[in-house]
Amino acid sequence: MNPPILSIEDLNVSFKTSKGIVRANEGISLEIREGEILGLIGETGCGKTTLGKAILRLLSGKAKLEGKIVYRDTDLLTLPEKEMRCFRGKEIGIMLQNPSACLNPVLSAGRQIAEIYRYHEGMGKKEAEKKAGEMLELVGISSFRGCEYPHQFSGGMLQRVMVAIGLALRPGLLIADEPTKGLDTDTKLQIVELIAGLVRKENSSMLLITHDLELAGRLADRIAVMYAGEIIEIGKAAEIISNPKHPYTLDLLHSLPGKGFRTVPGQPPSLVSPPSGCRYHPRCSFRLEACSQVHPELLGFESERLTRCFLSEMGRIKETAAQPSLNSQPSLNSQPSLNSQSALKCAEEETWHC
Amino acid sequence: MWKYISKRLAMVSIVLMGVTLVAFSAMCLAPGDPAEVIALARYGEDLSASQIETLREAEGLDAPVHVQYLIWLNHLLRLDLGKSLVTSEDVLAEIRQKLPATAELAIASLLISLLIALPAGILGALRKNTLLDKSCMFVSLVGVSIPNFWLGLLLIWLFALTLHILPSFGYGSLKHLVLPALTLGTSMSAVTARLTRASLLEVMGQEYILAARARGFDEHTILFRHALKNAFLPVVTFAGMQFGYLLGGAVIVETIFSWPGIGKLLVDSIFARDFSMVQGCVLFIAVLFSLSSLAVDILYAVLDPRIRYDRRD
Repeated sequence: MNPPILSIEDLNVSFKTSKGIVRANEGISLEIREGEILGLIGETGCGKTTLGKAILRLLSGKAKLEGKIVYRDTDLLTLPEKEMRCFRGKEIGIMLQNPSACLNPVLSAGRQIAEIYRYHEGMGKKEAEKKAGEMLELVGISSFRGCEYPHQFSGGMLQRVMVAIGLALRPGLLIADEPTKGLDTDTKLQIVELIAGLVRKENSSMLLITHDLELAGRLADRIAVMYAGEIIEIGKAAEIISNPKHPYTLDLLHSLPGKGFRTVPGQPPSLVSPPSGCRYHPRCSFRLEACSQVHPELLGFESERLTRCFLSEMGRIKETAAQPSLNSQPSLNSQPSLNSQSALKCAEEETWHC
Repeated sequence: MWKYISKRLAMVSIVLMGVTLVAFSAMCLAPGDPAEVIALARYGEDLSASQIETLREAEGLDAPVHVQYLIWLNHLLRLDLGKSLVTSEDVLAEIRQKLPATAELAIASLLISLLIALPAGILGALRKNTLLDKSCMFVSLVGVSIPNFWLGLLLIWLFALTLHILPSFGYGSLKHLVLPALTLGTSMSAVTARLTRASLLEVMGQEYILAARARGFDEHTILFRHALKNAFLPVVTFAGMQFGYLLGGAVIVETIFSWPGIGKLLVDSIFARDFSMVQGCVLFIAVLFSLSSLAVDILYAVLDPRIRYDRRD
């Protein structure tokens, strides 16, 4: 197992708003290892993007960050702003959501890449432009398009420019926030394979933030599932997909078009006053009485696998999951191994079922 | 780019067509018989009916209105704006003679305005909600609210009457320029400062600024390389319009300081009932204004690639 390139320890991120304190991230602990692609999935508003931005301290001044974010022996949260800037782009690259908004409309694409080299590596104009051209070619855009402006590129091309910018300085870690948002299926695949290919080639690590479970399953080595500001399940990608242990992960799987297309019932909770006990209990079809009262811990019963659920703690979900199709390959086209029917039956047999 | 400019030029010529119509009909719609008006302006007393008829024929005022317009337009195309009713001087020559003073004042005021407004607006945006920001914005609020003529009088009182360091009126030296330019410049800077601040604040909140920060750039680089070019787009439009307005003569300020520019010429002609001169001034001001807004449009395209390139390319 590779050593971690980034380890987050007990990170809390909160914002003071007029409606109260929004706890966007609570008690987040996770590691991204050298050369690993970690998928971070969850519904909109669960705190994925906040986590991505928190790593580079890009949140607004109103955000309060507690805990530790350690990048190769350096705790990023204690760094002065000036030193923090040396990590942004150079050590940790980030592709923020929505490339058409993230690129400056009045600067050409080539210049926006070249200025990274000029700023961080002190290159001259010509040299930086040459490097920018190479970077564009690398992401599949002919270098002569460097003089064009963002509005002249299509959505997929813009995302390629973002990849070029994110990887320009060959960072050790790339954070990609919803890199496939708003792209059609073909382009989505091309972009994702491009990013993953480049990251793997450089032996860099990547945090892939997405709500697309299928995509995460295809690309990531491990997957962390977030719900209402917390990590609720983390493990090897194939295992998460084939054998989800948290009911939320299961519901997410079922919402995939090929897996029933059933939406997760209810709405994501407010982060100002999250539900008591397990945050998922109001929407959970397996809930026990304890779920609304006691907040479950993120616990592991197997190596590399942590779940925040009483059922999995009691081995319940695991048992039910073992019944139907444990031997199925972790392929996305097969049915999920745990179907809610059998799990529900199991939960009904529980004496303390509410 | 050239397509864009030619499109703009076409628009401007349509606007100018409209301007000639308005300027011409203003003459026709003016109360009283034009011939009588001319007679009154030229000879200062009532003439007999037959004399007025002779004048009418001599001036071509007996022809139908549209024929008069076409004749007038024909003259216009040959840059003939007619002669002053009072002094019989050539209108265009008169305006040309006044133009340098007006241009001098316009440029000086614009410079003063930008020198005050841009730093104040940028500082205000960068130090949002601090004491510095609030005092800048308060001063500019006061600046917006003070009428030109009053500020002009105040400045005359302070610098000319009390301190005796600057002349209170007249034209000729740099010293004469200071007070009128300061009056116009400070009052213009108030709005520009607020616009700059608002525009920069909006730009600094954009995603691409955060994205630039995520690339590790310092705030200085972000401000000068990424933010200002975007933030200046509305400021350029506004300052350009102001400049166009100033080129047409700042009527009030030129009058207060007896500045021999187009604004003062216009006012004097109105009082002298010199209709052809008024008409010529109005036309000239409208042309200058249209041309300066054309210049702004072109500058806008230079700054903003989204406008420079048509969607088709």
